[in-house]
Amino acid sequence: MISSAIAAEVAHGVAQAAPKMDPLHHFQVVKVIPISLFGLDISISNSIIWMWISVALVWTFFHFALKNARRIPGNLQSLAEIIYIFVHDIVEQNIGEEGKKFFPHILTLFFLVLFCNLTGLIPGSFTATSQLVVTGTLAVGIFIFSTGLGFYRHGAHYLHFFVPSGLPVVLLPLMVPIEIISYLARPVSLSVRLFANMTAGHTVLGVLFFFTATLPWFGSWLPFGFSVIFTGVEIFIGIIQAYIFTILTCVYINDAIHMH
Amino acid sequence: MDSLNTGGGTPPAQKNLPGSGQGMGVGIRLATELASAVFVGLAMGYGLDSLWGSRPWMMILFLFFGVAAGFLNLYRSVNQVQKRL
Repeated sequence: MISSAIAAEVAHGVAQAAPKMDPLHHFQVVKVIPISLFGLDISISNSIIWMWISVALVWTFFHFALKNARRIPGNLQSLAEIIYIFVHDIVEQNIGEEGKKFFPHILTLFFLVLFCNLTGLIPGSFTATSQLVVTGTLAVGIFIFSTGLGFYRHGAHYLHFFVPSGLPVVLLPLMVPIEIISYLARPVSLSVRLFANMTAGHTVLGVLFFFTATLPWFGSWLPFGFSVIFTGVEIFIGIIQAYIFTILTCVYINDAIHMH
Repeated sequence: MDSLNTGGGTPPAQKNLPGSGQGMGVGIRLATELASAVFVGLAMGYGLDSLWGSRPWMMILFLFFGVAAGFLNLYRSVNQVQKRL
């Protein structure tokens, strides 16, 4: 099974040997270990493997950063503490005292998204967050969680979320659909934002690297220089996107608890 | 002295992380906010159309609802951002 997959990859590689621009090639999901359970396809793909690697890296980072934790922290320990406090501040500013219950969940989410974004920049790796399925699953999970939390906290009163206060009854048929669409657009914008940022950035990088590899020596330095700069921008975007994803999760949970 | 140098001065650096990229992040956030609501409205209209067999009309109606919801979301997130700054 595995050998046939590798053979297919090699054949693919031979077909690709002639220079041909294919900047979307590194977004291809490849089944590494095909598994089928009760007709359900739960194969281990490269996307899943890189997500595992990201999780392992988070664990390793915290393991070594806090191995001999001291009162006066060293470099690695202070880095871990800075990020911890950074996310803690986001939660506190956006949700308040009650948000502390959700802090472990939000910190985990932040680190998963951050490390998936950053490991995707390693040449030859796969960016799990460049798949709409992955970001969509995260966003829908957050959406269901915050909606459930709202109904758990406020009961049927949570439906008032869709009826703006102080509105004439005549305008209700107009405003209620708008509010419902605006609410349903949350997971869409949350997932599409992360997915689009990652995909767009990596596609640009792929095009630049292709130019670097195929142009003659007197032309290749220009796309190469750009690709170096753009890799820096990509690291920055990866951090910013993880930050936005976290902050919006906090905003949605806050809406569910406090209702605007 | 070494430990003082590595440990000291971290709080200001922590404040710099979100501040430096906030403009770009906010821009991207607002753009997707508008687009996704339009898309959701369109998809809802399309779904209702195939449910009731009223081909173009629900889609047109919900496109307008979606645009309105998009601007509502845009307005709300701008307010949120301004409150934080």
